[in-house]
Amino acid sequence: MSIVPARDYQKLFPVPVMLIKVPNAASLNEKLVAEIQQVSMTTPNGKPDSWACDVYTTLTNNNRLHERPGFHDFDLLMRQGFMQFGHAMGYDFTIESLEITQCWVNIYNFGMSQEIHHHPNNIMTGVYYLQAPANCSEILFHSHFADVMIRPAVYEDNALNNPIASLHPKPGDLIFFDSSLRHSVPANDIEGERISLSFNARF
Amino acid sequence: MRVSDRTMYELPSTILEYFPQIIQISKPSNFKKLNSTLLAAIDEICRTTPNSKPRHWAGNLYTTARNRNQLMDEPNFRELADFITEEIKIFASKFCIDKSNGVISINNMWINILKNKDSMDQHCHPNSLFCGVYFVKIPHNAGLLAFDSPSSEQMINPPIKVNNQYNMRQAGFKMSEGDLIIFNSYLKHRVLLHDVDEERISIGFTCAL
Repeated sequence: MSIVPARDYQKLFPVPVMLIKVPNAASLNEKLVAEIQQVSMTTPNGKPDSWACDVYTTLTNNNRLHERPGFHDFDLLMRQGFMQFGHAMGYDFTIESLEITQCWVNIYNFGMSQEIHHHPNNIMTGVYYLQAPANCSEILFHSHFADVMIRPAVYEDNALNNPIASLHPKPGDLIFFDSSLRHSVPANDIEGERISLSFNARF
Repeated sequence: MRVSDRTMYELPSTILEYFPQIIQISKPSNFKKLNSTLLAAIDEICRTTPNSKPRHWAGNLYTTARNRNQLMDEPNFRELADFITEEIKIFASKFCIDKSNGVISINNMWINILKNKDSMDQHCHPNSLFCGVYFVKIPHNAGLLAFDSPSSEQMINPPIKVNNQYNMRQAGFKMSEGDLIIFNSYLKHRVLLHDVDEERISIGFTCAL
Protein backbone atom coordinates (compact mmCIF):
# COMPACT_ATOMS: atom_id res chain seq x y z
CA MET A 1 0.00 0.00 0.00
CA SER A 2 1.32 3.44 -0.86
CA ILE A 3 1.08 6.21 1.68
CA VAL A 4 0.78 9.93 1.59
CA PRO A 5 4.40 11.17 1.49
CA ALA A 6 3.83 13.73 4.21
CA ARG A 7 4.27 12.10 7.57
CA ASP A 8 3.74 14.52 10.38
CA TYR A 9 5.08 14.60 13.91
CA GLN A 10 3.68 16.47 16.85
CA LYS A 11 5.94 17.21 19.77
CA LEU A 12 4.25 17.20 23.17
CA PHE A 13 5.19 18.11 26.72
CA PRO A 14 8.83 19.19 26.41
CA VAL A 15 10.47 19.83 29.77
CA PRO A 16 12.15 23.25 29.86
CA VAL A 17 15.40 24.15 31.57
CA MET A 18 16.37 27.81 31.34
CA LEU A 19 20.07 28.58 31.00
CA ILE A 20 21.29 32.09 31.72
CA LYS A 21 24.88 33.08 31.07
CA VAL A 22 25.33 35.77 33.72
CA PRO A 23 27.16 38.78 32.27
CA ASN A 24 30.34 39.78 34.12
CA ALA A 25 30.06 36.77 36.37
CA ALA A 26 33.75 36.68 37.33
CA SER A 27 33.63 39.60 39.75
CA LEU A 28 30.37 38.38 41.30
CA ASN A 29 31.80 34.90 41.71
CA GLU A 30 34.94 36.22 43.38
CA LYS A 31 32.86 37.97 46.05
CA LEU A 32 30.55 35.00 46.51
CA VAL A 33 33.38 32.49 46.86
CA ALA A 34 34.87 34.65 49.63
CA GLU A 35 31.47 34.72 51.36
CA ILE A 36 31.08 30.97 50.98
CA GLN A 37 34.49 30.37 52.49
CA GLN A 38 33.23 32.18 55.57
CA VAL A 39 30.03 30.13 55.54
CA SER A 40 31.82 26.82 55.19
CA MET A 41 34.25 27.65 58.00
CA THR A 42 31.41 28.27 60.42
CA THR A 43 28.75 25.81 59.19
CA PRO A 44 29.20 22.07 59.63
CA ASN A 45 28.13 19.77 56.82
CA GLY A 46 24.33 19.62 56.82
CA LYS A 47 24.10 16.50 54.71
CA PRO A 48 21.44 14.24 56.28
CA ASP A 49 22.47 10.69 57.18
CA SER A 50 19.72 9.41 54.92
CA TRP A 51 21.54 10.60 51.78
CA ALA A 52 23.64 7.92 50.13
CA CYS A 53 25.99 10.43 48.49
CA ASP A 54 28.84 12.48 49.91
CA VAL A 55 28.76 16.27 49.46
CA TYR A 56 29.19 19.36 51.58
CA THR A 57 25.83 21.13 51.80
CA THR A 58 24.13 23.74 53.94
CA LEU A 59 20.66 22.70 52.76
CA THR A 60 19.49 21.70 56.23
CA ASN A 61 21.43 24.03 58.51
CA ASN A 62 22.16 27.29 56.66
CA ASN A 63 19.64 27.72 53.87
CA ARG A 64 18.86 31.45 53.96
CA LEU A 65 22.13 32.53 52.37
CA HIS A 66 20.37 35.03 50.13
CA GLU A 67 19.55 37.09 53.25
CA ARG A 68 23.21 37.67 54.08
CA PRO A 69 24.43 41.15 53.10
CA GLY A 70 27.23 39.68 50.99
CA PHE A 71 24.62 37.92 48.83
CA HIS A 72 22.59 41.04 48.03
CA ASP A 73 23.56 41.23 44.36
CA PHE A 74 23.08 37.52 43.99
CA ASP A 75 19.64 37.71 45.60
CA LEU A 76 18.55 40.22 42.94
CA LEU A 77 20.02 38.09 40.19
CA MET A 78 18.25 34.98 41.48
CA ARG A 79 14.90 36.76 41.73
CA GLN A 80 15.26 38.14 38.23
CA GLY A 81 16.01 34.62 36.98
CA PHE A 82 12.96 33.23 38.74
CA MET A 83 10.83 35.95 37.15
CA GLN A 84 12.14 35.13 33.69
CA PHE A 85 11.70 31.39 34.12
CA GLY A 86 8.24 31.82 35.64
CA HIS A 87 7.28 34.06 32.74
CA ALA A 88 8.47 31.42 30.24
CA MET A 89 6.40 28.85 32.12
CA GLY A 90 3.31 31.06 31.78
CA TYR A 91 2.88 31.33 35.56
CA ASP A 92 0.71 33.98 37.12
CA PHE A 93 2.73 35.62 39.89
CA THR A 94 4.55 38.82 40.74
CA ILE A 95 7.92 39.65 42.23
CA GLU A 96 6.08 40.53 45.42
CA SER A 97 4.43 37.12 45.67
CA LEU A 98 7.63 35.23 44.90
CA GLU A 99 8.91 33.49 48.03
CA ILE A 100 12.48 32.22 48.12
CA THR A 101 12.16 29.21 50.40
CA GLN A 102 15.79 28.12 50.50
CA CYS A 103 19.18 29.17 49.22
CA TRP A 104 22.16 27.00 50.13
CA VAL A 105 25.63 26.05 48.98
CA ASN A 106 26.87 22.68 47.71
CA ILE A 107 30.59 21.94 47.45
CA TYR A 108 31.84 18.88 45.60
CA ASN A 109 35.40 17.77 46.21
CA PHE A 110 36.98 14.83 44.43
CA GLY A 111 34.60 11.86 44.27
CA MET A 112 31.59 13.68 45.71
CA SER A 113 28.14 13.41 44.14
CA GLN A 114 24.45 14.12 44.65
CA GLU A 115 21.86 11.39 44.27
CA ILE A 116 18.58 11.75 42.34
CA HIS A 117 16.15 14.07 44.04
CA HIS A 118 13.56 16.77 43.50
CA HIS A 119 12.26 19.62 45.64
CA PRO A 120 8.77 19.06 47.08
CA ASN A 121 6.76 22.05 48.33
CA ASN A 122 8.33 24.30 45.71
CA ILE A 123 7.46 25.37 42.19
CA MET A 124 10.77 26.49 40.72
CA THR A 125 14.34 25.47 41.45
CA GLY A 126 17.63 26.98 40.34
CA VAL A 127 21.37 26.46 40.50
CA TYR A 128 24.17 28.98 40.07
CA TYR A 129 27.70 27.80 39.36
CA LEU A 130 30.46 29.79 41.06
CA GLN A 131 33.23 27.30 40.45
CA ALA A 132 32.98 24.70 37.74
CA PRO A 133 36.47 23.54 36.76
CA ALA A 134 36.99 21.86 33.40
CA ASN A 135 35.68 18.28 33.41
CA CYS A 136 33.83 18.70 36.69
CA SER A 137 30.56 16.82 37.12
CA GLU A 138 27.60 17.72 34.99
CA ILE A 139 24.06 18.04 36.31
CA LEU A 140 21.75 15.29 35.11
CA PHE A 141 18.03 15.64 34.59
CA HIS A 142 15.79 12.58 34.74
CA SER A 143 12.64 12.27 32.66
CA HIS A 144 9.27 11.88 34.35
CA PHE A 145 9.08 8.67 32.30
CA ALA A 146 12.46 7.36 33.48
CA ASP A 147 10.82 4.60 35.50
CA VAL A 148 8.99 2.85 32.67
CA MET A 149 9.68 -0.87 32.80
CA ILE A 150 9.94 -1.53 29.06
CA ARG A 151 13.06 0.01 27.57
CA PRO A 152 14.55 -1.73 24.52
CA ALA A 153 18.26 -1.46 23.75
CA VAL A 154 19.11 1.40 21.38
CA TYR A 155 22.06 1.77 19.02
CA GLU A 156 22.34 5.50 19.66
CA ASP A 157 21.07 7.79 22.39
CA ASN A 158 18.90 10.67 21.33
CA ALA A 159 16.41 13.12 22.81
CA LEU A 160 13.52 10.69 22.32
CA ASN A 161 15.00 7.55 23.84
CA ASN A 162 17.31 8.81 26.58
CA PRO A 163 15.57 9.36 29.92
CA ILE A 164 18.59 11.32 31.16
CA ALA A 165 19.77 14.71 29.87
CA SER A 166 23.04 16.28 30.95
CA LEU A 167 24.18 19.84 31.21
CA HIS A 168 27.88 20.64 31.71
CA PRO A 169 28.08 23.81 33.79
CA LYS A 170 30.48 26.67 33.38
CA PRO A 171 31.21 29.36 35.96
CA GLY A 172 28.50 31.99 35.75
CA ASP A 173 25.83 29.61 34.47
CA LEU A 174 22.48 30.11 36.13
CA ILE A 175 19.83 27.47 35.48
CA PHE A 176 16.16 27.16 36.37
CA PHE A 177 13.74 24.27 36.15
CA ASP A 178 10.51 22.90 37.57
CA SER A 179 10.98 21.70 41.16
CA SER A 180 9.36 18.36 40.29
CA LEU A 181 12.07 17.58 37.72
CA ARG A 182 14.38 15.00 39.26
CA HIS A 183 18.08 15.70 38.97
CA SER A 184 21.43 14.46 40.22
CA VAL A 185 25.17 15.12 40.07
CA PRO A 186 27.48 12.19 39.26
CA ALA A 187 30.82 11.79 41.03
CA ASN A 188 33.15 14.77 40.61
CA ASP A 189 36.18 12.98 39.21
CA ILE A 190 38.61 15.89 39.32
CA GLU A 191 40.61 17.51 42.09
CA GLY A 192 39.14 21.01 41.68
CA GLU A 193 36.19 22.06 43.83
CA ARG A 194 32.83 22.40 42.16
CA ILE A 195 30.83 25.06 44.04
CA SER A 196 27.20 25.84 43.37
CA LEU A 197 24.39 27.74 45.02
CA SER A 198 20.96 26.14 44.86
CA PHE A 199 17.64 27.79 45.55
CA ASN A 200 13.93 27.06 45.57
CA ALA A 201 10.91 29.30 45.19
CA ARG A 202 7.14 29.22 45.28
CA PHE A 203 4.37 31.76 45.13
CA MET B 1 19.39 47.30 40.51
CA ARG B 2 15.72 46.82 41.28
CA VAL B 3 13.65 43.83 40.30
CA SER B 4 10.10 45.06 40.33
CA ASP B 5 9.30 44.64 36.70
CA ARG B 6 10.30 41.81 34.42
CA THR B 7 10.96 44.21 31.62
CA MET B 8 13.36 46.43 33.57
CA TYR B 9 16.25 44.27 32.54
CA GLU B 10 16.40 40.91 30.89
CA LEU B 11 19.17 38.41 31.40
CA PRO B 12 20.30 36.61 28.24
CA SER B 13 18.65 33.22 28.41
CA THR B 14 18.15 30.04 26.42
CA ILE B 15 15.43 27.45 26.96
CA LEU B 16 16.67 23.89 26.62
CA GLU B 17 13.86 21.43 25.93
CA TYR B 18 14.23 17.91 27.25
CA PHE B 19 12.26 14.67 27.02
CA PRO B 20 9.64 15.55 24.38
CA GLN B 21 6.98 13.02 23.47
CA ILE B 22 6.27 12.58 19.77
CA ILE B 23 3.12 11.52 18.02
CA GLN B 24 3.48 10.19 14.48
CA ILE B 25 0.63 10.91 12.10
CA SER B 26 0.23 9.33 8.67
CA LYS B 27 -2.54 8.34 6.33
CA PRO B 28 -3.02 5.57 3.73
CA SER B 29 -3.46 7.10 0.28
CA ASN B 30 -6.50 4.90 -0.37
CA PHE B 31 -8.06 5.40 3.04
CA LYS B 32 -11.59 5.96 1.71
CA LYS B 33 -11.68 2.58 0.01
CA LEU B 34 -9.94 0.95 2.95
CA ASN B 35 -12.41 2.45 5.41
CA SER B 36 -15.33 1.23 3.38
CA THR B 37 -14.02 -2.34 3.65
CA LEU B 38 -13.30 -1.89 7.35
CA LEU B 39 -16.74 -0.48 8.12
CA ALA B 40 -18.44 -3.50 6.56
CA ALA B 41 -16.23 -5.86 8.56
CA ILE B 42 -16.75 -3.90 11.76
CA ASP B 43 -20.50 -3.95 11.29
CA GLU B 44 -20.39 -7.74 11.05
CA ILE B 45 -18.20 -8.06 14.13
CA CYS B 46 -20.48 -5.83 16.21
CA ARG B 47 -23.39 -8.09 15.44
CA THR B 48 -21.64 -11.20 16.69
CA THR B 49 -19.26 -9.93 19.39
CA PRO B 50 -20.61 -8.64 22.70
CA ASN B 51 -19.18 -5.52 24.29
CA SER B 52 -16.10 -6.43 26.34
CA LYS B 53 -15.83 -3.17 28.24
CA PRO B 54 -14.94 -4.00 31.84
CA ARG B 55 -17.19 -2.54 34.50
CA HIS B 56 -14.33 -0.57 36.08
CA TRP B 57 -13.95 1.64 33.01
CA ALA B 58 -15.84 4.83 33.84
CA GLY B 59 -16.81 5.88 30.34
CA ASN B 60 -19.23 4.01 28.15
CA LEU B 61 -18.28 2.65 24.74
CA TYR B 62 -18.32 -0.50 22.66
CA THR B 63 -14.95 -2.26 22.53
CA THR B 64 -13.56 -5.61 21.51
CA ALA B 65 -10.34 -4.96 23.45
CA ARG B 66 -10.95 -7.95 25.74
CA ASN B 67 -12.70 -10.48 23.53
CA ARG B 68 -11.66 -9.93 19.92
CA ASN B 69 -8.28 -8.25 19.93
CA GLN B 70 -6.38 -10.15 17.25
CA LEU B 71 -7.89 -8.35 14.28
CA MET B 72 -4.47 -8.15 12.60
CA ASP B 73 -4.91 -11.85 11.82
CA GLU B 74 -8.33 -11.43 10.24
CA PRO B 75 -8.41 -11.08 6.41
CA ASN B 76 -10.49 -7.88 6.35
CA PHE B 77 -7.97 -6.09 8.57
CA ARG B 78 -4.76 -7.38 7.00
CA GLU B 79 -4.26 -4.42 4.67
CA LEU B 80 -4.55 -2.02 7.59
CA ALA B 81 -2.28 -4.21 9.71
CA ASP B 82 0.37 -4.16 6.97
CA PHE B 83 0.20 -0.38 6.79
CA ILE B 84 0.46 -0.09 10.56
CA THR B 85 3.44 -2.45 10.63
CA GLU B 86 5.34 -0.31 8.14
CA GLU B 87 4.52 2.86 10.06
CA ILE B 88 5.64 1.27 13.32
CA LYS B 89 9.05 0.56 11.75
CA ILE B 90 9.40 4.23 10.85
CA PHE B 91 8.31 5.35 14.31
CA ALA B 92 10.72 2.90 15.95
CA SER B 93 13.58 4.27 13.84
CA LYS B 94 13.11 7.64 15.57
CA PHE B 95 14.03 5.89 18.83
CA CYS B 96 17.10 4.13 17.35
CA ILE B 97 15.87 0.78 18.63
CA ASP B 98 18.50 -1.89 18.17
CA LYS B 99 17.64 -4.83 15.92
CA SER B 100 18.96 -7.19 18.58
CA ASN B 101 15.69 -6.61 20.44
CA GLY B 102 13.85 -8.56 17.76
CA VAL B 103 11.00 -7.46 15.52
CA ILE B 104 8.37 -5.02 16.72
CA SER B 105 4.97 -6.32 15.75
CA ILE B 106 1.31 -5.75 16.52
CA ASN B 107 0.22 -7.89 19.46
CA ASN B 108 -3.30 -6.54 19.93
CA MET B 109 -5.74 -4.85 17.59
CA TRP B 110 -9.36 -4.13 18.44
CA ILE B 111 -12.42 -1.98 17.66
CA ASN B 112 -13.73 0.98 19.67
CA ILE B 113 -17.09 2.55 18.89
CA LEU B 114 -18.39 5.60 20.71
CA LYS B 115 -22.01 6.67 20.50
CA ASN B 116 -23.44 9.96 21.72
CA LYS B 117 -22.23 10.71 25.31
CA ASP B 118 -19.69 7.89 25.28
CA SER B 119 -16.10 8.45 26.35
CA MET B 120 -13.00 6.56 27.43
CA ASP B 121 -11.23 7.35 30.66
CA GLN B 122 -7.50 7.91 31.06
CA HIS B 123 -5.30 4.89 30.46
CA CYS B 124 -2.00 3.64 29.07
CA HIS B 125 -1.01 0.26 27.59
CA PRO B 126 1.19 -1.88 29.84
CA ASN B 127 3.18 -4.74 28.33
CA SER B 128 3.62 -2.96 25.04
CA LEU B 129 6.15 -0.54 23.59
CA PHE B 130 4.11 1.56 21.20
CA CYS B 131 0.41 1.93 20.63
CA GLY B 132 -1.82 3.77 18.24
CA VAL B 133 -5.19 4.44 16.74
CA TYR B 134 -6.54 4.30 13.22
CA PHE B 135 -9.60 6.46 12.67
CA VAL B 136 -12.24 4.80 10.49
CA LYS B 137 -15.22 7.08 11.03
CA ILE B 138 -14.89 10.52 12.57
CA PRO B 139 -17.93 12.80 12.43
CA HIS B 140 -17.59 16.54 12.81
CA ASN B 141 -16.93 17.46 16.47
CA ALA B 142 -16.25 13.86 17.44
CA GLY B 143 -14.79 13.22 20.92
CA LEU B 144 -11.14 14.25 20.84
CA LEU B 145 -8.27 11.98 21.64
CA ALA B 146 -6.42 13.76 24.45
CA PHE B 147 -2.95 13.13 25.85
CA ASP B 148 -2.14 13.85 29.48
CA SER B 149 1.14 15.48 30.46
CA PRO B 150 3.15 13.94 33.31
CA SER B 151 2.82 17.34 34.97
CA SER B 152 -0.93 16.74 35.22
CA GLU B 153 -0.16 14.40 38.10
CA GLN B 154 1.84 16.95 40.07
CA MET B 155 0.28 17.92 43.37
CA ILE B 156 1.38 21.54 43.06
CA ASN B 157 -0.43 23.22 40.23
CA PRO B 158 0.72 26.84 39.90
CA PRO B 159 -1.75 29.46 38.64
CA ILE B 160 -1.34 30.04 34.93
CA LYS B 161 -1.45 33.42 33.21
CA VAL B 162 -0.63 32.29 29.67
CA ASN B 163 -1.22 28.76 28.41
CA ASN B 164 1.78 27.37 26.58
CA GLN B 165 3.58 24.13 25.78
CA TYR B 166 5.46 24.17 29.10
CA ASN B 167 2.41 24.31 31.35
CA MET B 168 0.05 22.28 29.17
CA ARG B 169 -1.56 19.51 31.21
CA GLN B 170 -3.51 17.98 28.36
CA ALA B 171 -3.15 18.09 24.58
CA GLY B 172 -6.11 17.31 22.34
CA PHE B 173 -5.53 15.71 18.96
CA LYS B 174 -7.90 16.77 16.21
CA MET B 175 -8.13 13.70 14.05
CA SER B 176 -9.71 13.03 10.68
CA GLU B 177 -10.78 9.87 8.89
CA GLY B 178 -7.84 7.83 7.68
CA ASP B 179 -5.40 9.21 10.24
CA LEU B 180 -3.08 6.70 11.82
CA ILE B 181 -1.33 7.90 14.93
CA ILE B 182 1.39 6.12 16.90
CA PHE B 183 2.87 7.03 20.27
CA ASN B 184 4.62 5.59 23.32
CA SER B 185 2.46 3.09 25.22
CA TYR B 186 3.25 4.72 28.56
CA LEU B 187 1.80 8.07 27.48
CA LYS B 188 -1.56 8.41 29.19
CA HIS B 189 -4.49 9.28 26.98
CA ARG B 190 -8.26 9.32 26.87
CA VAL B 191 -11.20 10.07 24.57
CA LEU B 192 -13.16 13.12 25.61
CA LEU B 193 -16.94 13.10 25.64
CA HIS B 194 -18.32 12.22 22.23
CA ASP B 195 -21.15 14.73 22.08
CA VAL B 196 -22.58 14.14 18.61
CA ASP B 197 -25.15 11.68 17.29
CA GLU B 198 -23.02 9.99 14.65
CA GLU B 199 -20.79 7.13 15.75
CA ARG B 200 -17.03 7.55 16.20
CA ILE B 201 -15.29 4.38 15.04
CA SER B 202 -11.60 3.65 15.54
CA ILE B 203 -9.22 0.72 15.68
CA GLY B 204 -6.76 0.62 18.55
CA PHE B 205 -3.57 -1.42 18.58
CA THR B 206 -0.49 -2.10 20.62
CA CYS B 207 2.85 -3.47 19.54
CA ALA B 208 5.66 -5.18 21.36
CA LEU B 209 9.06 -6.75 20.78
